[in-house]
Amino acid sequence: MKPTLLVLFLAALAAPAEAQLDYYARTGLGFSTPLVRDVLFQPYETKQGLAPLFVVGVATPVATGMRLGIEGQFMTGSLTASSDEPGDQSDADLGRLTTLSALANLEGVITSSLSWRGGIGLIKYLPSDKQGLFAEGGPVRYFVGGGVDFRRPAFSNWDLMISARYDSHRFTTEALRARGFTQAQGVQRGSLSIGLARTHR
Amino acid sequence: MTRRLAAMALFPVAAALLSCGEIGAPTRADIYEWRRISTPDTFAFHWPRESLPVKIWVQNIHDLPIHTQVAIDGWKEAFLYREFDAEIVGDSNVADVVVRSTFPLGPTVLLARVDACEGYTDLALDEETGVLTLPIRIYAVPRYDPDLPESRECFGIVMYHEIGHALGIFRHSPDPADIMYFNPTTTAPTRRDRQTAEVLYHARTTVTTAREGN
Repeated sequence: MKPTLLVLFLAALAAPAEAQLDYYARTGLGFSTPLVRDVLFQPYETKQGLAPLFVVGVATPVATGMRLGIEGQFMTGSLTASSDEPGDQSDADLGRLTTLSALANLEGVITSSLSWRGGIGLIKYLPSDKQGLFAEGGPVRYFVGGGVDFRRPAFSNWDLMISARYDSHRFTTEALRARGFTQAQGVQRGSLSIGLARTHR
Repeated sequence: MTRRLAAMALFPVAAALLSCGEIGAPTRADIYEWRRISTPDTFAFHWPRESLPVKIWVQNIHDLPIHTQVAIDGWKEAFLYREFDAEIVGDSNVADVVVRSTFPLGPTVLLARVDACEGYTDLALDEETGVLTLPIRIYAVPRYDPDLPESRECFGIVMYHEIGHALGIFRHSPDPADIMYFNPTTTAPTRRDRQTAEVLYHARTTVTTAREGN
């Protein structure tokens, strides 16, 4: 099912003339709400800190004022576990956590320089070590996301692009399930980024 | 215009709905007493983060370094948040834990007896001051020919058990199924052993450490 959807999506992107393709690259900072909320005498949270990210994307018109696109994001930062208790010595550095995500999205015009974007995608977790909650490896989860883009002409055929993104998914791992964790943690991620977009005037 | 607004609103609403709900953490209620209770006081210990990795020196006999490494790796897997880590070192003078294949001399001994071998953990714990003098000493001794397959298997079990004491389980489990039972038969920590270790690493400690000779 997934390969079929991917082929259809790529076909939709390839169908219009290449000249209509709009592509962009940005860099910025992202954050995430906790991945796991555990209780070990006190609440104990595992979360990724503020992390640098890189985004690339491509979009093509599908209707007046509407574009279909795909956006890939790479985010990498430290993963820590800590309790709220002041002076608790059990805060832990759990290494580095990288996420790769792809968002298939629709983009629509709000004003001449502002547009919205929303879609669904997949996120893959890539921990630096296969230990603890990632002992069985990093999971792949689906997510819903969107945001707004601000564009301003910078050079001929190039726009300055400033974007805010928000997405949400439910997180759990095989290792957590094996240890009796039930359900999944609702995780929200946000980011701000800046870059350049190739456009057609 | 209305359709566009609906499309714009669809994704934030879906994202907000997806983020609802929390993961359900296990209660970890199935544990046993890990503290050393010596009337009228209770002694609880785990290695603080700044002491990790715990340094373990192992006498190179009866494959004890291999059995010790397997036990370290197995206990590390018991934890979700890297609460415990240890490494084998080459100099016993800097070790926090010393493993030998001789009989113990110390006063406070936890004994594990398996058919083909015995293991002891000697904790030099001053019950007046709550100070544990390092190194913790572990002894693993064969009862028969140490090269017999049953002796090798026994060393594997005993090292798991004694490293369990060294990480802070200062008691024996009352359940014969557990690796921390005084006469263990299982070859790795059970769910109850693992949960006990997890809980003890987040419990308050009452024991501090000092190094021999200081």
